[in-house]
Amino acid sequence: MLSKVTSCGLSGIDGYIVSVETDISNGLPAFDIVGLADIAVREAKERVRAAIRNSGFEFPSRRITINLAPADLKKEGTSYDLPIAAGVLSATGIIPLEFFNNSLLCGELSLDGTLRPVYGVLPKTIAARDNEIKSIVVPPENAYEAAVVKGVRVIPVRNLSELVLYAKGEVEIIPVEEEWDKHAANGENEKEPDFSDVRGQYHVKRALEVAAAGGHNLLMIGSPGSGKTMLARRMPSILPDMTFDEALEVTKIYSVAGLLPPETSLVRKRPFRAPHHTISSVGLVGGGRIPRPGEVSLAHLGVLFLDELPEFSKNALEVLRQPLEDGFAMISRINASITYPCRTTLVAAANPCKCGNYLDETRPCNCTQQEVRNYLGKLSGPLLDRIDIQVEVPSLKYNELDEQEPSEPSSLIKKRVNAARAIQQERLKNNRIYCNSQMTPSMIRRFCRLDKESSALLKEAFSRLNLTARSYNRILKVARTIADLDGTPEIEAVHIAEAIQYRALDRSFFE
Amino acid sequence: MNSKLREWIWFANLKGIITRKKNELLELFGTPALIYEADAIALAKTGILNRENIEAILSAEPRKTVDETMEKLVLNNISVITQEDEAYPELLKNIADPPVCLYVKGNIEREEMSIGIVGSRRASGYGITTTKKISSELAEYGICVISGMARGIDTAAHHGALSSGGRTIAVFGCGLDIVYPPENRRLMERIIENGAVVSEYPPGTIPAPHHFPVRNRIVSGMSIGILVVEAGEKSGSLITAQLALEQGRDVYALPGNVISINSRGTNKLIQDGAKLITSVYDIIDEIRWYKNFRKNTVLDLNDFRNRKKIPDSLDIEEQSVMQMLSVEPLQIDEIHNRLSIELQLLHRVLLSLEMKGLIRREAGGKYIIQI
Repeated sequence: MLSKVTSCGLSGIDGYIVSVETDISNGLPAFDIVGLADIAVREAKERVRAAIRNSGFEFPSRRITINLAPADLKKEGTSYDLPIAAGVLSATGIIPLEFFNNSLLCGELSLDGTLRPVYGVLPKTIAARDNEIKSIVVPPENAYEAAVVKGVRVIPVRNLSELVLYAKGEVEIIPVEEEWDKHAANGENEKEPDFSDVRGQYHVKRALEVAAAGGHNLLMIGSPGSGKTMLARRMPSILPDMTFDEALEVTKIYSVAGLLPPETSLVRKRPFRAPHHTISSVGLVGGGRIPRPGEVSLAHLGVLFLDELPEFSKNALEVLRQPLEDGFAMISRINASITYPCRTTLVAAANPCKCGNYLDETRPCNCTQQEVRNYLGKLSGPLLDRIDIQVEVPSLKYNELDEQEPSEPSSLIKKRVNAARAIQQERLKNNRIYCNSQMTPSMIRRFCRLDKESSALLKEAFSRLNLTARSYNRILKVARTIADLDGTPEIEAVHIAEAIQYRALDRSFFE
Repeated sequence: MNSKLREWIWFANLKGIITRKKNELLELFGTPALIYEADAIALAKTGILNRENIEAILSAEPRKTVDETMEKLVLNNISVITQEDEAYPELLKNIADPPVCLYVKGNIEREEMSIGIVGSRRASGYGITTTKKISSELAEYGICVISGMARGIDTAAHHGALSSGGRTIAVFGCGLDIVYPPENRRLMERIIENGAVVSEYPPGTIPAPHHFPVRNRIVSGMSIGILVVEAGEKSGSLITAQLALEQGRDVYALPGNVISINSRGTNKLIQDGAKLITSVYDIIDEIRWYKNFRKNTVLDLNDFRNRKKIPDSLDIEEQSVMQMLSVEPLQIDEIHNRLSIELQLLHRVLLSLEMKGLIRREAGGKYIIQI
């Protein structure tokens, strides 16, 4: 007997349809899986055998061959357990063959026949929808994640016996449904770090607002304890709300990485990732024997916060350059290359020197002049080229901490950011980019025209303040964003002036 | 060149004999040429030298290398001033252990009113600004400013004196053919044009940590007083102040913020009795009685605050920012808080003042007045 069950594999963050073919023939009892299966897939036969027996069905003692087609792509993970078991049951006539015509199955089996959650269910559901498959059978923990995709019935199944009863039509399982709007409203209530908690630091808050509005990468330089981390953590709270498509994209990445909490449908908040500085280059941009998205992709459409930037290994910082520039991380293997999207806003923090006290008047800095120079010097060049805004974060004095007046809440800042983003999207809609930081030099020439006063100011600033040539385009882009925040169509002198003030490292930080 | 010069240089560069012993030998023998000729017995009879010293004097090696040194002097246009030369500074000659020879590029005078300025290499904006101001005013009084051309205060002191067309002398802790720190190459050229660079180390000597305290005795030795601008608790500038006291020089100290670690040393000096300096006049007051003080120079002796120029051409926001800023560095947030000018406008105002050269932005995004 031959049966065919549809399942799904993963390449990057996209699913592709895998057909699980089961053939049971006479011969010496055997159980073989072919089709470039990795160890986890090959071990499925032990789980499948036990799960079928323990669910009260007979495991055929005949020659069983499983083929995972297309047979030339590598199959990984445990989500083929369920389709293989279903294939065996169907080839022995327990499950009617017609059941699989319009269903996609995925799930891991435990030895007693219970289904366990797997990763990547969301992209698999999307693949099912795109291939016009009507329903998907998943473990209950993954059901909400799958249910956000419209047009596919999501059938949560607890164990193998339930699947058999359902397939025979003896029980009815209510498909899980999920409403995007319902949860969007709830999301607002969740308490997240808010800018109203931060006293003082108006200058840095403003810089973060500009960074959020234009999608600019930002570097904060300041002594330990000046609040760099606190400020960075509040960055997601002023980023524009995620649209459904954006949420879907982020959820896909988390689903593939296996980081989606059980019974969650969508990642609704913009991600904030803060990897420790000991992270490897693979951990940062993705890769590994079985490729997984790295931190930069997990921060897709959100914030990647790198605290103590100069402490990261040189290698890790170097590999970060291409993903930051292109918006995707490419992992090349001999047989395939995988891309993970990573359009993230980089927020980095650095101490001014190794001991951190260089700018502090009250604590002694033990570094020599040369060490101070070298410390931030590690960052120079191509990486800094991708950071538009560099600000110094001063240490707060006690009277500022004690300030009674509450600071501006994130919701107000977010309103301005949203308005500025809307202007940018309108302007850039024909260029297939969505914010100012992504403008190419030719777009900068087109969209960042200066009037007489502001171009005179910029020219004078360059000659007087020793600005480097590479900062020219950065200043224009940031000035464009500041003008958008102001809602003015032309870049004015005040905007240029403010943008120049965000180039701390160009302004010969050390004298 | 002086025919005896070869022996002088040979003697000055002998290793392993401290300067005090060399000076005692010179007193006994009169001239290095006689020491050069002396045999072991004559040297031992002096009672000054131990066995190693005598071996050092008699060894052949330094006698050979002295010719190389002389070639380097010609090559680098360095002149030598020995203790018997007219030009050897009078003040320096009278310290406990004056250098046998001085290597000089530029020109030095025998009797010159000089003030030494020393301080931290890692100076604050306050230190740099006040150093430049005092140094340029000293130069306007015709006083030569002596320092060590190190980073920070030293560099500011030379720049200050040069800015008002005065004379300045830099004392090196290495050979004069080496520029240390290297970024001061241009400054060194200007110092040579308007004064001199001086060292007791022959050309080719690389800067070593132990050279600098030894160098500092020359800075204070050539000066009638030493001004310490910024010094941490355990800084080399305090050693210089100590040396200056031992040499009988005046020690002046510029007070600082009691919190600032850069000013702990100077504030301590004041506690110990150094004269507190708030303007150049406090120094002039002490030194005006010296015979070669040019009394006819008159300077507007206002304090720092009144020196602040606020041009009338500034607009109203610029004026109020100028009124508030001083030599104490202020963050943009602090200015924003005190003046309640909107941040965006403040950026514009600060940038424009900076480009007019009225204020300066420091590391850490702090602003101070430019005086």
